[in-house]
Amino acid sequence: MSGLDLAIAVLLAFAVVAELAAALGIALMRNALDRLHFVGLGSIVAPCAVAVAVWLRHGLDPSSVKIALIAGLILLTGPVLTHETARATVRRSEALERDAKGRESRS
Amino acid sequence: MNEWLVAALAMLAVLIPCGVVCLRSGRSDRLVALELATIVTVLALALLAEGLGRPSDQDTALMLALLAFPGTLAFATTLERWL
Repeated sequence: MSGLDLAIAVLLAFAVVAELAAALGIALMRNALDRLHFVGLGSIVAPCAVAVAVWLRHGLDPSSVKIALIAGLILLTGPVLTHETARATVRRSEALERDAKGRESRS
Repeated sequence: MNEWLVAALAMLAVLIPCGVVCLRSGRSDRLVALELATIVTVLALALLAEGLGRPSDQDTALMLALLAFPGTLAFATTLERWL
């Protein structure tokens, strides 16, 4: 195994461990807002590691450009989706609280 | 079996905790698990394309990465307004 192959293997293992940590974090946390932190971990670390591994393998190549596009898309859209999910969660819980208080005051 | 295919298989195993959260938790938590599952699936497809030596298969991963954004936004909006 050459140094390059070793570096690629280490990067891929790092990506898998990062995603596994993110998934376990999501499984172990109690509420949606805490779980969202781990989505952030999963959307930043692993795509970058996989993209670097592909670039190490191919150099400048259509495959590398595509994987860079994929990683870039995930990096750009991940925070937006996290923010929107958090906003939807908070607004939904506020609406549910308001409905519950309304029902209590009526009864 | 090369390191890319092993990594792709390991990524598929990461979907199991996401599936557990989808099955057992509330609506908002399911959306969060779905987001992570989408990212994991994109990476698994990209790793599979590399492992099988078929770069054209990366288009599937690219399409999923593109479509995940409006899809997840649609779910979040539905969750906020109607569920």
